[in-house]
Amino acid sequence: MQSFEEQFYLENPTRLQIIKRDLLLFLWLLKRALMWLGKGVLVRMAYKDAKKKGRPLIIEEIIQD
Amino acid sequence: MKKVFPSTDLPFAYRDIPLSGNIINGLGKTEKVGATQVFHGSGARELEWGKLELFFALINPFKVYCLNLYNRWMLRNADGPIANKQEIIDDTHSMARNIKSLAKELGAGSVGVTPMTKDAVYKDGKVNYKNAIVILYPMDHDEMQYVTTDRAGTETMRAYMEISKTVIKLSEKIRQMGWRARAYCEGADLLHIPLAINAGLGELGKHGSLISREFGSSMRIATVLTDLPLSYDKPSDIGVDDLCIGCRRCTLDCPVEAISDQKQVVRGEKKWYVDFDKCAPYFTEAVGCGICIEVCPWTKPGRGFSLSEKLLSKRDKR
Repeated sequence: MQSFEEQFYLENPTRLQIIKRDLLLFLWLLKRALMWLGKGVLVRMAYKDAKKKGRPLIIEEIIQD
Repeated sequence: MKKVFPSTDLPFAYRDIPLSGNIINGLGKTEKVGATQVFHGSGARELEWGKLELFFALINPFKVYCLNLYNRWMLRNADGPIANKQEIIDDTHSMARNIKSLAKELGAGSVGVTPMTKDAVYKDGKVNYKNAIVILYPMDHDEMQYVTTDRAGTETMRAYMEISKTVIKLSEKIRQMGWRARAYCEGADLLHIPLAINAGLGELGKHGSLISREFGSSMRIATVLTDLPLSYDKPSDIGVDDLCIGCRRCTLDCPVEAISDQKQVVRGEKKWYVDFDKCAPYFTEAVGCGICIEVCPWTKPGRGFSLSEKLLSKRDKR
């Protein structure tokens, strides 16, 4: 798996490469924003619940591969 | 103000604990090998403790999370087009002086220059540039008094964004001179602390973070890697060890006792080391924690220079 820099840093790019990269980065960020709004809601609810019940939330149960 | 920090009884746990971060970090290893990343992989790279990192990101407040995403968007300009005509550099001293004053105009707190070295990249990373321009940006001390709350998390992200703007702009100026330059901030591929130490910006403190003469530990670090010929700064002894050996503030205030009073051997080097397995889970619960850097006596604004002077003159008298 490539790092952020390997995926989105371009040395001396052409205009076309910049457009393609910007689009890919936008989609990458959008996916992450949607993750906070989607999966994140479930994670935060489970986390709050675990706090209330005093029973630890198992990370693997809420965050899968 | 009496501060209340999150409990050390964490409301989450791994069922199968990942390989110890201390083993991955090479604690106790006497051979000099490259570092392996354990945490803070920017969400792009898969790491041994990656699930905890994702969990940390998802329990962060939306504002902090969005600031991080916006910073990533800005960082697309960390590299870019290079001018065809390359400026000839005859005097590397004057060029380094100009670059430093430009960095300060662009918002940097402190600037240092050092050769790029292998110990600033992870094990399989390559050294692709000749020089590193390292920049420090101070965080707001009053805001950072709220460590372990969203407020301090927001300030941390604000500082990251400001320093990102500085290094992005600086790298762009260098590329306009016809030289390769790439900005690194809050990323996964570069170890900023060894570079900052080599560039004379500070020393490693007991809490595993850089202590700079000017800002203590309450700052963020970013770097521009470049081939632009520059003269170098030298590592500077500001008396951090003299303070850390006797001071126990961070050791005592760390809720999970992750900070040791003794230096330890890590990948062939004796240095201050923080227990990753204790630190990272609490760091997650405490929205980025930061207790150790805020309680450090060096972090108090305006204190660094006189403290350094006092420590060094005390040593001379011994």
